[in-house]
Amino acid sequence: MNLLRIRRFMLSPYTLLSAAILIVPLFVVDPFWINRLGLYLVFSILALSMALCWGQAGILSLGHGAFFGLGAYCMAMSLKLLSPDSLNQGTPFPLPDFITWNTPPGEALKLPWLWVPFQNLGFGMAAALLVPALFAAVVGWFVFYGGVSGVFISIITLALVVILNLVVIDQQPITNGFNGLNNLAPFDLAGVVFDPYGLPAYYLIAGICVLLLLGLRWLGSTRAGLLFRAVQADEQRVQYFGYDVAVYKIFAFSLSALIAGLAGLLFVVNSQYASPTIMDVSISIAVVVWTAVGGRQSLIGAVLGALAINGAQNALSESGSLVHVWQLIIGIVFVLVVVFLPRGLAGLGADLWQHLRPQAKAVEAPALVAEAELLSVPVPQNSHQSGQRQS
Amino acid sequence: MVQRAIASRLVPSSPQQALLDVRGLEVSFSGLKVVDGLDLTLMPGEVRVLIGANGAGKTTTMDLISGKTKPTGGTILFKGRNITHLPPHEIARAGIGRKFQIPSVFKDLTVTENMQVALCCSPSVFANLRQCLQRKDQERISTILHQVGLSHLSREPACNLSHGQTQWLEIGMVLAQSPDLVLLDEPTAGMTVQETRKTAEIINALRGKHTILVVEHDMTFVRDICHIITVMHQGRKLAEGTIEAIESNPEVLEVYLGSGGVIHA
Ligand SMILES: Nc1ncnc2c1ncn2[C@@H]1O[C@H](COP(=O)(O)OP(=O)(O)O)[C@@H](O)[C@H]1O
Ligand SMILES: [Mg+2]
Repeated sequence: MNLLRIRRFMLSPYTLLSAAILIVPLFVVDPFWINRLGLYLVFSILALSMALCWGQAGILSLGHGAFFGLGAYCMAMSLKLLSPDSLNQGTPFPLPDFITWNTPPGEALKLPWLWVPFQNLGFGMAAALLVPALFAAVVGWFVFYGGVSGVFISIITLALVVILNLVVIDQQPITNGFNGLNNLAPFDLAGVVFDPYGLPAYYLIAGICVLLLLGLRWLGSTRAGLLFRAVQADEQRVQYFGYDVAVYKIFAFSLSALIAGLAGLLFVVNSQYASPTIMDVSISIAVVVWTAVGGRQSLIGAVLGALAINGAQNALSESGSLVHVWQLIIGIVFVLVVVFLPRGLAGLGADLWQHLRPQAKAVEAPALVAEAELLSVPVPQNSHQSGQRQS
Repeated sequence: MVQRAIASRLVPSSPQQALLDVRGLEVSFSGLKVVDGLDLTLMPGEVRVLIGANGAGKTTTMDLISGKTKPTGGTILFKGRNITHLPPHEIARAGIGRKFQIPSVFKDLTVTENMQVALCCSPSVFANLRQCLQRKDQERISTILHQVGLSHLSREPACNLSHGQTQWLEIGMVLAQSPDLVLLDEPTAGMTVQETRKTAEIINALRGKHTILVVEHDMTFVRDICHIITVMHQGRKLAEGTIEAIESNPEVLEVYLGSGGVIHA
């Protein structure tokens, strides 16, 4: 029994994918590729946050770029203030170079109040997680208690990212507008420097990705996870059992925003900039596409979807000629998946697996299905007998 | 003095207090009064049947009690507490469970999972961040599934159940919720004679443990389960009394004969 469990654990898609993510650097030595793979894993984390929000809780957010961007900006602000440039502005406090450039001659240089707490890296990191989460909680409170549902949530979240993007571009004096924040200090935590092209940065990102994969899988197996599925099946009905559905949705939405913020933080570690282009509509839509193609109800699908699409995009941009039709290709793939594979590639994989191993009874894949053994309610052997059915 | 104070504390006030006390309940949809000054009192432990022609406002009354629809007038007291304007989840937490007229279970979940959702020990999201089932919850679920005759289907997805089984599952879910007041809206609709009989057995087994308000058309079934009937007509209470009294009430007969004589169907 125990051996069987261990074998099942070892062979579970979660373990295999986690192991693959962790051992890839054994085969890839080129720092450029280590950095690239790190970036794709950052996008995988963003896709995981979408799988929580959309796949588990049924909230199709078209504004996750806002949370990703907020996380990235919070982290970038701290790293900007730690950079040698900022420390050498001739002021007794660190000052971002663009603020010096923007200040008219003769006026006193001063750090805008919004920037002040970000002198502390710990604050910047915490803010990268909590700002998106609180923002989502406030938006969620209005949206979900206001009874907004379905497509209107998508429209509201889409509007959100558009507005935030405009605000960031517009507030040039404190955000550096279009140019965003660059020339950042490398991320240095307790003496470990996370060089974006080195292994520590890769393992930071990969480790978090694996932990999230397992953590979200655990979340799906709790009673709360069961309730998310119930809410998706029939939101109205759940209320009559005493659950405040809005609270469950706000929780999922905020947690998802927090994870998106974490992805933003890691994006800055990996890419060393934050700009309006990473908190715009196109990244918000892209994450939905990755998740849908991979299979929104499967955490593994979300990770693989992000890896596959970004990998393919990269390969095509190297080859040159196809790069211009890339958007078209991805659009067609998206439509095909939505129409023919509503459970995404993960669903296809699960079906093939079932097909090849007809003796395997338990459905392995759609990742969030709480395993029957967790329930372990005594069931007579012939539980599928249907002799009693009428009509 | 002192003795009287003690005595008044000792005299339990609850047996006299109605569990559900609906007064002057009103709701109108675009000008049309669908429930119009309804009074309804249920004592603890009672099984009450609500009958009335189609469109009489029975389902709407249940919608009002369970918070699905907001009344435009009147009050609903439950255990002495005013629940008239509470949202549905708070009414459910106060102790009212409901089976809908159109069976509504979670089709994507298995029978056991449906029961788990209903077995709401704690409605808070943080309290539910733990693995699914304690031993005693499992036992309770198997007991109830046995009661409603679905033990052999516990792992079946709810979408594979027959119509009758779906109705029983929903009754089972409402029981798992262990409400003080159970609202059952046409629990035997679409059932065969045997299924109806079994449903009556289930409801009779609940007698005493729960207070039950049930909307029903099938008079054989009504005879099996209750003695006091409330008749609704056009949103009002037309009559209330024992089966015999209702069946010989000329007003009721007239209304029913006018609408096809359901009562003797
Ligand atoms: N939400 C609503 N909007 C408008 N009319 C409604 C609504 N709900 C019920 N009604 C009307 O109220 C009347 C009573 O309906 P209902 O309570 O379902 O009757 P019953 O359950 O007694 O058959 C019907 O005429 C129905 O059309
Ligand atoms: Mg009805």
